[in-house]
Amino acid sequence: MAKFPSVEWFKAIQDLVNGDDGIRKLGTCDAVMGVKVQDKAFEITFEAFDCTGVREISEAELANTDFYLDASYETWQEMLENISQSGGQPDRHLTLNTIDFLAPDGFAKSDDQSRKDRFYRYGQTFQQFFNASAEIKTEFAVPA
Amino acid sequence: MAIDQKVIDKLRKEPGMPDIDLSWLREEDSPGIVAKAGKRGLTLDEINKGVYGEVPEIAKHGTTRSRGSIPRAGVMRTAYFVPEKSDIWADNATLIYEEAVQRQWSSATDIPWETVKPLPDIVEEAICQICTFLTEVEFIAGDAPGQWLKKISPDHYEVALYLISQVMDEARHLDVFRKRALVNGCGLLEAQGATRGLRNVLDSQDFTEMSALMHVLAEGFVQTMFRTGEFIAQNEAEKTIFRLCAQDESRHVGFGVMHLRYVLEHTPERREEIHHYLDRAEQLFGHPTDGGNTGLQEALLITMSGDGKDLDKGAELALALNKKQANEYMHRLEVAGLGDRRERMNPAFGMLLDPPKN
Repeated sequence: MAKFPSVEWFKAIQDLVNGDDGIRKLGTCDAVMGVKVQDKAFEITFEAFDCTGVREISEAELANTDFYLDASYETWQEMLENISQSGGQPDRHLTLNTIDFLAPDGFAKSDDQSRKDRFYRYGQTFQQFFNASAEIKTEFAVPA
Repeated sequence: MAIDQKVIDKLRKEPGMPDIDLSWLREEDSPGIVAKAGKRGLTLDEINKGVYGEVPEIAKHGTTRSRGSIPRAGVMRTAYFVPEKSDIWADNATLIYEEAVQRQWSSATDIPWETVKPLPDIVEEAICQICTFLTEVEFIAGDAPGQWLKKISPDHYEVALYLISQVMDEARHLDVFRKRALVNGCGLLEAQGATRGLRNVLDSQDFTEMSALMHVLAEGFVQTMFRTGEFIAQNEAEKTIFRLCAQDESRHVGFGVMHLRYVLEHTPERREEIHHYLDRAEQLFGHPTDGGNTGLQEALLITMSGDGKDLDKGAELALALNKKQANEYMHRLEVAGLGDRRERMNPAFGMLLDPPKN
């Protein structure tokens, strides 16, 4: 069981998606995705067909990512629980894309729209990344 | 690569053979570059090395000669190409082309068509009206870059390859929306016709004009609509269609933004000219007297309301969509270096803009 959010949790997903034929079939993905959960921040790097890096970063370093996903802890938990319960097929209002559309300030954030567009360009790769969390047990732990 | 002189001599003396020239066998002209595959395979960036990667600022010949090959006298010209690199270039053309090839999909086999089930008439008809509109739009989105293919020099082949990939993407979009309209018994509804804004894209006389109008403005707006599509989708097939189309559309927007940035960096004197194109395009795009989009707007209201009953909810979401479209358009222009567009944007879009961040 891995705690969300933590480097261990993201590394568990990284191990699942690397070498996965479904992800590879989606095509190359070159982007640095940030994840912000309350006061914790993470950087997940995608290169070619793999997720090549996962690390915890400072909140200020989120500005160096192409975009970062930022939502309330409740939204993250609802999304991941839905992914888990649906076997990796989340309801439409809980996909990355629709959360982004429905949130007034968006889910994916960046000061550079062109870099933020990578969220949309590789959207299915990122969705598959989080969908893979259905294969692990997640313990939700609100960051202190 | 060494050529055995004995082989050449033998070829020259072969009985019954016409005189052999073999002047093309010029080892001394070979730059001796060995391209190696990287993480993404053997991509264009991996082979664009040395003389093969030197992109001329001006394409000086009108023949089909590939960049890096050896010129030959007496070759016929095949076209008048756009000579200036700065008029057509984008630094991400190779990356986006390779990505497009990697991320292709099939409307025949990658969409779970079996998930499309009978829907309430009003919802089915609204979806089919949206599909009718998008089928037309995608036809134009393929035609517009297609018009420019014959004008791209082989010296700037990367741009031609990107445009070809876009035409393929648009062809797939055209066919997938047509298939969706026909798969559930409703079919295509009212033709929206090429609205003034879309006609303006087709009429572009300049590549940057075409790209700014189509990639940055029109496709930017359509990309946001595709992203919304997942929310209005009634089944897994529609969700998949919109998700995959949004990815494709984002590549086209990405090319357009980087092209505009390249133009403004290398030919800053074109700034006012580009503003002029956008002045006209914004005025024509969704002009209130142009009834061509009425069917689309009403169909969006119905689908965004869920079942066509709560139109206030539909209107609220449609406004949210329009705000995202306008703001993302403005942000992309800022990235391209046209941040001063904010002051002169058409009021129809300007009124939807959030205040600037800085």
